[in-house]
Amino acid sequence: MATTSAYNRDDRTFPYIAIMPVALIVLLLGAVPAGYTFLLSLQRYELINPPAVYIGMKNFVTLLTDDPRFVHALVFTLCFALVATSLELVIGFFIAHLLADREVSHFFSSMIRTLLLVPFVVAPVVASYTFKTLIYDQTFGYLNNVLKLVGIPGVDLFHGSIAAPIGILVMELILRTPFIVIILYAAISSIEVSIFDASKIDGVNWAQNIGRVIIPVIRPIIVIGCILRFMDALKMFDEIYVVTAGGPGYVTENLSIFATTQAFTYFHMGYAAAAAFLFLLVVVFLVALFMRRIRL
Amino acid sequence: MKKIRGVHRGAARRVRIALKHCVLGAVAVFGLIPFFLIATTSLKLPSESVMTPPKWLFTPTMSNYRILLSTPEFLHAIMNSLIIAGGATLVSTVTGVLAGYAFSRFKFRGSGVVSYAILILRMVPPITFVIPYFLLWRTLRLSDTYVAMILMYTTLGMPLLVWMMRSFFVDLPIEMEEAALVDGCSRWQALRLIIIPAVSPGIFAASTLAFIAVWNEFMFALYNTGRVTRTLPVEIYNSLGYYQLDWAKLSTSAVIAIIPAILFIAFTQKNIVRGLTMGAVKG
Amino acid sequence: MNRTIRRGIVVFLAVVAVCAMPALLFAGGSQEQKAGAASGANGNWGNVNWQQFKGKTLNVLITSMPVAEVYKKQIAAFEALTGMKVNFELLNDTDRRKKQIVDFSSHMGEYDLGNIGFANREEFAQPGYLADLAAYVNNPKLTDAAWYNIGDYPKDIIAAGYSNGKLVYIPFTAEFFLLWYRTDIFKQLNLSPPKTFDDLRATAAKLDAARKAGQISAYAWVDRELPGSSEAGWNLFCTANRMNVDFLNYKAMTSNVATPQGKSVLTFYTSMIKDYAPPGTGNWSWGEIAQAFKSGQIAMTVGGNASYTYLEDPAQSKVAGKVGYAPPPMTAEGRDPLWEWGWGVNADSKNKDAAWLFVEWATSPTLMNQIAPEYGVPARKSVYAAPGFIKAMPGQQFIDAELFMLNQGVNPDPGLINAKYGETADIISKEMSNIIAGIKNVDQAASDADAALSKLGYTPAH
Repeated sequence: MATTSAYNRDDRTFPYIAIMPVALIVLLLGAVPAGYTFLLSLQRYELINPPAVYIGMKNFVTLLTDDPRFVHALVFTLCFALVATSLELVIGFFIAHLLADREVSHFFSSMIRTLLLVPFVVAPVVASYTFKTLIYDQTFGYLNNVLKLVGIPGVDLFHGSIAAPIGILVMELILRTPFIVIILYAAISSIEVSIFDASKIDGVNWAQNIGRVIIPVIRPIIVIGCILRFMDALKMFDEIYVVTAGGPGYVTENLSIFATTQAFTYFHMGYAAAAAFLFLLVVVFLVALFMRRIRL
Repeated sequence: MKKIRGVHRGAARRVRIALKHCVLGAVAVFGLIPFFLIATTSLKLPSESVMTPPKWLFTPTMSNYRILLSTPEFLHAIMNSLIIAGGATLVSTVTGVLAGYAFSRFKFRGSGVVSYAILILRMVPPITFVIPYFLLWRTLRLSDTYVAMILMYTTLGMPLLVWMMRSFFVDLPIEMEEAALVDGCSRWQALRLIIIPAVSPGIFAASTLAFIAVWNEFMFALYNTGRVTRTLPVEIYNSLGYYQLDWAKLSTSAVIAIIPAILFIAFTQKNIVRGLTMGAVKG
Repeated sequence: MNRTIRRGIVVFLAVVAVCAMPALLFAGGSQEQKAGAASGANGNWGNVNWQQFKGKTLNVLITSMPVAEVYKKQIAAFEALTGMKVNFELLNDTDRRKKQIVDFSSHMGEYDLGNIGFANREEFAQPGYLADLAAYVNNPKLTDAAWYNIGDYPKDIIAAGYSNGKLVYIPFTAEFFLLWYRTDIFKQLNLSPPKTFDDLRATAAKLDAARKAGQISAYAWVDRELPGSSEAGWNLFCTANRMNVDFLNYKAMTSNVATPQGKSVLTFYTSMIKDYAPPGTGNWSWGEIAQAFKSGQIAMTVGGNASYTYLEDPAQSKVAGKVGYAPPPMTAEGRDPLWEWGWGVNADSKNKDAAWLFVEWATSPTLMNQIAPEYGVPARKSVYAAPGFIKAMPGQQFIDAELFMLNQGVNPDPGLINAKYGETADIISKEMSNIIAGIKNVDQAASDADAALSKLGYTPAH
């Protein structure tokens, strides 16, 4: 890399000019709003009772020490992202492994992979409405009617505190596992055939093949897939907003729902900004943690 | 003896292969149920779209499409989405390709910080930005303008372009541009004449994904669009009425909203994996 | 590779062209429509110089609901009458309110006027975001008082537009709860519409027994369950008011949630749902309830009077002509908190005079008489006697129920009208949701609600 700069005189300025627009975007459209959120978070700013008053770190202290609802939202967000990501990884891995299986016809596999791209291009808000009414609803939805045909009593998403998170989880799995499938397929199918042949000669069985050959080889890609999926699961908003609105009670309230409720239902702009800023800190911390892994 | 075992093994193999195909088929069917429901509902009459029990058999009708495609608000929303997503994709592509190239070829002061910041921009929960953007556009007298929407969505598309293009440039043999530079091309000429043409499939794939991300975005649009700039997802979201469930309209608009994205996907499938992983995995 | 790109670009352009073509075609069409509507601006428009703000543009934000669609059809006529341009934006109610409050509070005056809901009135009025309309009503340059006849509004209906002595909006709908019941089922089982809460429970029990015995297929009862201040929270607070209970006293900052009265409301509301509603309805709001009622799934509910248009439309409702309407069950001192939509003007609008002209036009006797048959819940009393209106309504029983509510059934100043309603009702409705889901019992939920409310400064009453 150093050698290229010898060829040309404008190479000293070139990178700076080239990243200038991007740096400006990051600064003006990323750093400025984030800074503004931080400023808001230091205020008691009631939209229906202005003006704003500076109160220092009080919002943060209240959030962390005196708001079980925030703590619940934080824990739910992290747990949900963790569970969803792990399940998607396991299920996605086996589907990807099957798709890359040399016994499965190439045409069939590529057709399935194309079909699995559909979830990416459908607006999440539309998919969520479909789940809410056309699938989950016990009166209007298909799920309950199909279950009835098989003789299983209906599933009530709003009974007890466990059915609703599971309902959201299943929906998330159906909509997002294809992401894992597609990138893991790319990884598995790019493993050199000779590696498999060598292991076949060694006489390893199916499980050993996965555990000792495939996973170690594609580990970096698994890590990247997990990180991206995990970060997106943290941000999840549309699905919960539409299907359960955080209910029943507070059961499915995550950080995004908590912060929007504080901001636009209760009009505690400062408090909401503090919650959003803490959320941002969690994300920045996690990105920093994952950064080395992502840059392969 | 040997022959019989061979036959057995052949039959077992056939069963195993058939089973694998069946499992995959079942996975695809299962995963696509919601989208199948959207598509079929769009072909039902409004009175049949939400029924108890749901109506399994029905006579398909195109009337929902006819009605929707003659609704001025809906057509306006399509135009808005095309303008905004197109504009944001264009800005993201131009800035992203330049930056991606710089990151891939040069080590310079600040490169680490900037690329880290770009990654964070991709990961940030939108709730952090919704309120400040709203007030920012107000102050700049830019609310409900295409410029504001395009700028805002650049934060969504640009990180994708930068990281994805960086990975394409890293793969590109350095000798190509070195030859051009030796021949007396400036860095800019080399970029324009040699490098960009060589990675154009990558640019196309990356901008496609950026386009789709912007096309489907909901939260920013909900709080920042107005009469002039309302985009398709907000329009779709609004089609469910206050006192009634207008499922025929909702699913019909959803199907129409999917069409451009599906076409793009069909043409860029090869590079999609790289796009989904921000360039970290080569598909 | 390059060919793929070129093909992709061609496809993209084709898609753009296909999408854009109908839009262009329509642009031509809409101009014709406008020209046609101009001639429709007939009727008596009083002695007002409607053209005095010719050339100005008004930005209007309104909840996407049936009456908004009715108004939308008339916008071209208003533009022809005044020579102004109107941007008429429809948005679903939750987001309309959020957007409006953020806009009004920013003092930028992006939206000149919009619809204000009765229950959210104080969120806008208390911080001073709404202009006092009395000055405009009394300005002879802007209003022909004799023609406009504000005295036509029933006392309680216009009273609800006042906040702290300021007229902050002029109502265009007058809504309240009515008991909807299936006349065919009630006749079959020989039931009459319940008048008290005990009656209601007894009737629901009989209907449920009939369903379990296979005599009818409809469930006895349902009510809104999706938590939220303008979802189930509203129905819950209104039920409480019909029982003459206020969950909160916003002036004394006390909470009655965990008092015996408060708990009895929570118990009644949740047990009716748990005992008699269809299973799995924990996220139901108006849309689902109306849909289920229309398809014959529900025998009885308490619903808004404005939704009758859907129930009575044979094209989409199986029960058209089979719905009875009666005042909802109330205790002797209980009243139904009114619901109304009014037009309010942004105090920071740069076109307040012009915005008033829109309000005057939209709430004028002339226009309301023209459009009321299409939405059925006008705020002006004279309309209820107009032959065109009577003919369009589902029956005299419906009009009688409405008039009963207008004159004696509603409370124009219920305790729940407060800027803090949104947050507190959200909290209480979430605990209600916990009870329905079986996560908590009533005692637990009530004391948890009080714990959350005490952080906001409300002392539990005992």
